Amino acid sequence: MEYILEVENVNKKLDTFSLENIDFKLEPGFIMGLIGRNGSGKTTLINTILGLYQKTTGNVRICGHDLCRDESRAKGELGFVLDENPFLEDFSSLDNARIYSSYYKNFNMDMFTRYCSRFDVDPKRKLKKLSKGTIIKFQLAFALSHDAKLFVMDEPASGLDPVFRRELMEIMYDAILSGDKSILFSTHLTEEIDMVADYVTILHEGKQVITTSKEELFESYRVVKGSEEKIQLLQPSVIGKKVTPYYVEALVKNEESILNKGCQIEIPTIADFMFYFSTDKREEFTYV
Amino acid sequence: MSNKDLRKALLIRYGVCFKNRWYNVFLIIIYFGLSILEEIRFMNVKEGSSYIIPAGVFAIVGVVAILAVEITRHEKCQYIVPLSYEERKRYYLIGVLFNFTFMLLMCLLFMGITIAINKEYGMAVIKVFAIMGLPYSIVASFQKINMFKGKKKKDNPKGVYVSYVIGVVVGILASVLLFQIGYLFEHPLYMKLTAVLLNVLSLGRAIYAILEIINRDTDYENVKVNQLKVLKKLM
Repeated sequence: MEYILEVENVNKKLDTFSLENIDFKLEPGFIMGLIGRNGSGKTTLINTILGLYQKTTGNVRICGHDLCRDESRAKGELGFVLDENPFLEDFSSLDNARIYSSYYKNFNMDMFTRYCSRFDVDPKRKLKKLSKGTIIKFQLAFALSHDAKLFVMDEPASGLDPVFRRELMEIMYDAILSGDKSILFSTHLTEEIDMVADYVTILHEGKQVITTSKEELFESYRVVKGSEEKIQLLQPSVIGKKVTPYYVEALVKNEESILNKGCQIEIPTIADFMFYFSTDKREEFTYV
Repeated sequence: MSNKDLRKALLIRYGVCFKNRWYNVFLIIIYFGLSILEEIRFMNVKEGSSYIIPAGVFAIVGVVAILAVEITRHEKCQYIVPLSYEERKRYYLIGVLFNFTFMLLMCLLFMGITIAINKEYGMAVIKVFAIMGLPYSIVASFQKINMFKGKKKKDNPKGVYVSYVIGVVVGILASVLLFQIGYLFEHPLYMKLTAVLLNVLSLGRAIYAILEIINRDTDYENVKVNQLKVLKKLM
């Protein structure tokens, strides 16, 4: 099977931070969410996939094209939507599209104006006069107009109002409807993952904690609540726990051994996964 | 992308930049007009300084340079669009060539007009062009291209720091030189020496810039970090 995105043992060393052995694949027609706390390496990974950072070691392939050896083809398949606007702010959306469309073989200017109209982006207004949400929409319109196969989005919904966030999710769904496109997006808003992601990759301090489908994630783990003694009985399955004055809560592997121990068992939320997977002292939190 | 496609992309960019900075045309016309009028007035009444005319040449070149260097602006998008490292290098080098040609044409046009009005002053303009116009055009063509060089983050950005300081110092010296240009006209030997020195320096700078483009990596983040470090120090 040809993957849209293949990230193989990617390492990137920065001054005070490093991305270590990131390895995952994304099939066509799916959405993958990158989650992790601030500073976990989401943006570094996205910048590495976009080619803004040169990876220290490893490989990135986009639609089978190696980002190093076949950079222009690989980047030709990329559509990008970034939290920090990479386009020229002094120019209008239309002028930006004119300048940057010349690098893309399949850029369709009519399609771009249609998307601008659909997303309510005034193509003649300078980017610096547009709201953050509208700039995101412009970036989306640009990405959709050159028939990108992989959309890479860095926190596309951060700082946006809930109405636009919902609209963005719908646009993301629409974008992959044809089945030959995929989306990789980073976020720390867990509801986005709940709404649209098919796969989830959790990063913590530059390391890949887990990459799996959302269904498998929810199937494989449970949150259990009970007394300290009861939770202790589940110890081999415990990923992490937090202690409150009234009970102990733990994320455990969903195994038969957790049943009939007198604990309350719940299906975890994405926020639970982020909490238990993305903390330094995963074993125990004490709330006083 | 072929060189033809890259040239086309550059021309589109020039067109869009020019459309957005069209008011600069007025500045160019005003500089041209004032310089020519000043020259005619000087020829008629033989008062004032004829060297205001050459100063006008470089004011024009300056305005054109602002327009032209748009093309080689260091920006994030340039690293994301589908250009390979080699293509990006070619793109910037073609941009430099465009910038230089553009500025040279403007200077030649002004020199031509001056010679047509009065040969003697035309020659004065050519001399000033040799002293300052040519080196300035060369360095201005590469001004933004410097930002392309991506030094490794672990490297000390001293080179970039020194480059900024030299740029400022040379800018001040150039202004002083322009005001003292009358002195150079009275001492032709000094004039020739200054012309040779400045041209050699600017050529050296151009060669260094080309080598930087060819040899350095293009890690956007490294370029940006170095620029910021230097700017912070200078602030």
